[in-house]
Amino acid sequence: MSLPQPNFPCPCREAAPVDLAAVDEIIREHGTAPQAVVPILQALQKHYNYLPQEALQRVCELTEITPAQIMGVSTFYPRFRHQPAGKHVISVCHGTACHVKGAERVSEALLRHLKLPEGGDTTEDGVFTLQRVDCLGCCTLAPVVQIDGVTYGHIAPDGVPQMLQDFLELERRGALSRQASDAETAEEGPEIRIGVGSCCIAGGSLDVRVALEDTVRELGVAAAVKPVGCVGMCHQTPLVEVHLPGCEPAIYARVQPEDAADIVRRHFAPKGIVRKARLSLNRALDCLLTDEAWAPVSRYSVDVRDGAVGEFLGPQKHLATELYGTVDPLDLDDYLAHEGFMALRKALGEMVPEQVVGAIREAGLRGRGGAGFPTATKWEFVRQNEAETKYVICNGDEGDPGAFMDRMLLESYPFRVLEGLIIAAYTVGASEGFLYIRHEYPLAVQRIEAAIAALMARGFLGDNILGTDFCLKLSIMQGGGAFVCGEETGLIASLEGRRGMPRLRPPFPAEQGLWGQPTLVNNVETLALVPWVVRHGPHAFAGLGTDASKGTKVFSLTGKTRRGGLIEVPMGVTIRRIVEEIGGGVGEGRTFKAVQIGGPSGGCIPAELADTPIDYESLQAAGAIMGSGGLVVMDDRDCMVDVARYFLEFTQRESCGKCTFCRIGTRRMLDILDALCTGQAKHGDLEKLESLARQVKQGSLCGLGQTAPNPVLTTLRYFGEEYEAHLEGRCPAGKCKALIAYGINDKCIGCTKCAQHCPGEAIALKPYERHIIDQRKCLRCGTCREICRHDAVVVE
Amino acid sequence: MPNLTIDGQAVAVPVGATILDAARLLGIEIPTLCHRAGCRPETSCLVCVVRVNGSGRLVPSCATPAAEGMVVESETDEVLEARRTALELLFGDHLGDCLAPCQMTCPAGLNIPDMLRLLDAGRMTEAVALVKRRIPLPAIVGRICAANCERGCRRAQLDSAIQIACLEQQVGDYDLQAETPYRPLVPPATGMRIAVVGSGLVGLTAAWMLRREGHVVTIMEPGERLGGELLAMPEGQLPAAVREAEIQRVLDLGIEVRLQAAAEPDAVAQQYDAVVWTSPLDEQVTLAEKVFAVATPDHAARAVASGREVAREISAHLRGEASPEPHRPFTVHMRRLEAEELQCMSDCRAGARTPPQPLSATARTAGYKPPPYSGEAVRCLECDCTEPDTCAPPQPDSATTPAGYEPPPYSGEAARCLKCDCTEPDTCALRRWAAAYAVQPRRFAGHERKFELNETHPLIVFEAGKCIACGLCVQIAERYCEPLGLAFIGRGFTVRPGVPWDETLAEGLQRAARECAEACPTAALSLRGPLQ
Repeated sequence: MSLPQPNFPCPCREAAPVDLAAVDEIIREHGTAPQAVVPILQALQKHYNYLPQEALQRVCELTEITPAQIMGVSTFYPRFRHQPAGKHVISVCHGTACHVKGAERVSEALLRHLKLPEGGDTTEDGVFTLQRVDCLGCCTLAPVVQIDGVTYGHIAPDGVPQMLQDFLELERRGALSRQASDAETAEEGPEIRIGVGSCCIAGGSLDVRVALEDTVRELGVAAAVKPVGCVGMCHQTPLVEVHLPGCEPAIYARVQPEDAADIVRRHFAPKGIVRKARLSLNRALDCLLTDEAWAPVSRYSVDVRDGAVGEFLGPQKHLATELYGTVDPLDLDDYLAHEGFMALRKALGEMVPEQVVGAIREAGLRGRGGAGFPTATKWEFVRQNEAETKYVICNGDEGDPGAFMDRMLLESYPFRVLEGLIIAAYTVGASEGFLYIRHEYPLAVQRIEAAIAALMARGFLGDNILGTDFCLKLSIMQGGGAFVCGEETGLIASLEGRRGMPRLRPPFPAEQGLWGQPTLVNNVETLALVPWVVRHGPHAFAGLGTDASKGTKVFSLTGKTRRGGLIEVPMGVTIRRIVEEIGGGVGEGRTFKAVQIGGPSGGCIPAELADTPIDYESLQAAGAIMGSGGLVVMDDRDCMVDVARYFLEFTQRESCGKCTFCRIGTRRMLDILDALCTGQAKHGDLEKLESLARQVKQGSLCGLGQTAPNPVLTTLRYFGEEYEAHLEGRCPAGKCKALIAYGINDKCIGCTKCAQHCPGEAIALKPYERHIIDQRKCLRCGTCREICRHDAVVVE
Repeated sequence: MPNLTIDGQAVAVPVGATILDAARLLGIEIPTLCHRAGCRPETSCLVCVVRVNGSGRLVPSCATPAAEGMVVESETDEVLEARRTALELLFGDHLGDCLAPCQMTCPAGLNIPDMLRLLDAGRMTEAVALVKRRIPLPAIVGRICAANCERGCRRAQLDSAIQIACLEQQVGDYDLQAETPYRPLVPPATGMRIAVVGSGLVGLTAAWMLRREGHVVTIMEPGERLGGELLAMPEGQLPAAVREAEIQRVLDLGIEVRLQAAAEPDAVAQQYDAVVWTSPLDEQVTLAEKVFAVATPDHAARAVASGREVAREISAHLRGEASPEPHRPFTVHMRRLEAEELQCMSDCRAGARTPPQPLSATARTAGYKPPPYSGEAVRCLECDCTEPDTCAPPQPDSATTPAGYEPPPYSGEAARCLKCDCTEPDTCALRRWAAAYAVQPRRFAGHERKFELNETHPLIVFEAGKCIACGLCVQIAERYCEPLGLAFIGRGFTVRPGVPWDETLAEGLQRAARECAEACPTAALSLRGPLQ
């Protein structure tokens, strides 16, 4: 079951006359050139919450943008709506991690609860619009729902009413506009660090930060509250670290605002007992006033040197994430104090471009965006081109559901990524560059914007960088939510103000890219590694990893492991070490079944092959690809056919629709998988699926279509028996709703927990009696099975 | 000049040429749909894929530049299979009938929609010619046919089927009383003599078809009157006068008749170059090679089809060729349409709003009041002489108009046709390549789009279900600098060209309409035909 399309007409409101003054203002800001179309649409969408036709027509009157262009572009990107939305937009994340943790059930629960009109996506009263998004990049909080700016993690289907109530309560209290203070303290001495990466913010870290600042002020403590980037332990957000000079840092995980006072008081004793008593009283009153009827995440505190977390951080190597948790993302001086821009100084001062390319080549750096193309070769290709104008592009259109390392790098180390981009521009001889960042990452956009401004002010960007002849102008382009724009030719089309449709390569962008000029397109992580390579020399980098795959790779480890988050490991580490040592294995009583690597373009590697080392060639041999680094762990309750179906549903939805194999082929593959998951598949369908998958793989025009069949082909290869079972109408993992029924066995003690949580009221609330599921009412949401502590709910 | 090989054949091409250009130089045919001279490559249909240098991937030949030393595979099994798959995938998302269901269910293969268009336009003589090319005896067949076509008619879902058999009969009746009846040109004599034994529908049709090839044809009827099984039809259904008159139209083509001609296959075969044997035969008899025996089906249109088929076989035999495979034109079948889709169809076809007329009771049997039958037996029906064996070839103007015929008033029945046939069955590139690659059009059938028809443009018609999203029309509209033009609306599986702001097609394509329709590889965008 899927949610309604986001662009369905909203029945609740008649179109009011549109005030067009904003359009003129937006055009003044973005210009009238055809390539301004996407930024203009972004601004219109932000202003009106949708794209009123009058506004679009006005744009065509005032600019060089034609009606055909604006219609083509605005209907290509899912970001843009053509119909008004409700007052609040509920975004249900359907990223991989959220999917395996039950996002579909949350969506269904929302659909039921909101009582949306047939085919519509907005409630009758116009309060809520429901939409599905591919990934909010908060995979460790899965399943995640975002209502406007508020993120709710670990949502169960039966938690939906409370979540909506909580949100409306927040709105009533006017808490939505509450922002952390902008004055960021930079004092020496004790520091209280609060993570402000997206996961932490999603976990509520801004509130915690406000609480910490309030407490520090109130208690008169001499400590700085410092926002820091992602620490990587995203499964335990929000994270607070207390650093006292000469002491080991203390880390608190899953901190709630009300804990702030306790934390501060524990490390910094307030002056005088009277004050303490008064504070306790205030705090008690605060608790009463704050009516926290429902806490979105449970909380506990944990020490970093505690065995489990130590292991989580221990065997990793931090190159791209070198400064994890230590620098303020936007404090340039802090960055400079941590060897920031040393690499740029070295490159500009001591090296000619050939030498930089040489260093990158010797280091053996390969593109981290997925395909693993040697970075030096690409750079050299652009460098040698004698064209007058060249461009560099940082590809931050990280669209894989279940991957968020680019977001983390952009948010936490904006200066680091920009340093890499500046070095790249210097090396290839470009004087203009772009950062293409998903609009779903507003924090990343905001930080990169601020970082560019800071660098311009300090002479690291702009004219005559660091006193040399080298000049570089950088700008940001926000994506429109199309996965296919991660493909470099699609990305360039999008930058040029066209539909983000990939084209046939050759010619490669290095030859004919943006506006026909030689263009270097590199992934965020690749660029983040460049300063490290330049600073430490190629040999230090090449010393890590395997023969053909050097250095480290950042992964977002999600799914059924006990611990999840961002990790950076040397190439060549086995899957088993990541899952067991870093991720802490799968949950109690479950068995590790497979790991999905590389997102929708990657494949599923079964537990038997867990000793496969992670490098480009080994993964390819196993049928997967490195991809951009999503790593989703699955256990015995995950159905591999369902996983394949999930990924294919994603790629077919994200297909640009240009070439036959991808547009229709992926759709027909999905039809077969749908039939398998609902018990309607026919004899011969598996053969048809496999042959079609191979045709789509070899015949599609761009990387999206060529890799889309990978999840299907690998699961067919390693889990063929599960497909056979589905053909017979069985789902061995008990996941495919149409093929299963839930029942309750003798272990039931009659605790009524399942009955209380059942969203379909299919279980009668009879204490101390063995519960019975009314199959007619059962929604097969699995809530009872998740919640039962006695293993009494079984799949039949 | 890059040198390359395609399927082992070497070729040198100018710099900038594509693999497709190189293949064309070598005479290697590569299918294309989205390729058009003068347009930049769309690389969307991917039916032109080839394999280059043994790569694991296939590339579109229309946009891949030929390079020095390239080794291209074009007609290997894998490449052909990929092209076939691409075509099959396109058919999996292509909603439309190549040929209308009525035509496909008609055993004689009559192009019924065109017949109805001509009738609706009042172009009766053309309608007669169209029908008689397939069914030489429409006044008879229209009266007695079981009319499979009407069971196939999509209009039946909406209210009631078009009364096709009645209208066919009207066509036949019109010709019977026309001052200059339809008479196809007979080519110069081939010198071949053919005997047709038996004069039922099979024999008469075979005789007509063979005579049209220029052969000398003699009908040998063992009985006393021509008509075979037709003679058994009750007068109420098939009046004898109609039968006689329409048979006469066949003979008017210059066919000799021998009545009461006792014949043995071997004996006849000795005198003729070929024999069509439609009379009952002893099963034991071994027939000479030139004797073609045909059974008489008890279905009128099927009998016509048998007559036509045996004529084709004989023509091939006389040319010394192998017997031709029964030709079945390539077509796809549109799924059963939903009520609102049918409504859209009927709303767009202005005439289709006409309510059904009760034709069966009136026109089908009573439209024609035949003159009394003379009853004389042994007579040459061509010139009324008593020596049919030696009768000279008939005179062109010997046809007589049966008296008492009043054509039925124009009923509007033909206008009710939903015209579900394709407007471009013969120029559609998708159909052409589908036939050449023997595709199974339903192999990747799945959820199908809605039937939509846009007839707002004076010059062209847009049928979105047939669009394969090749992109040519969008590109051409841009080149013509249309004020509105066309844009791809949406993305992925559901992407379709559309006019911005939901304006009409006429607003969108003010200058480029003709070229867009010409470029369209299917009939999604088609020029309005002379009959539309």
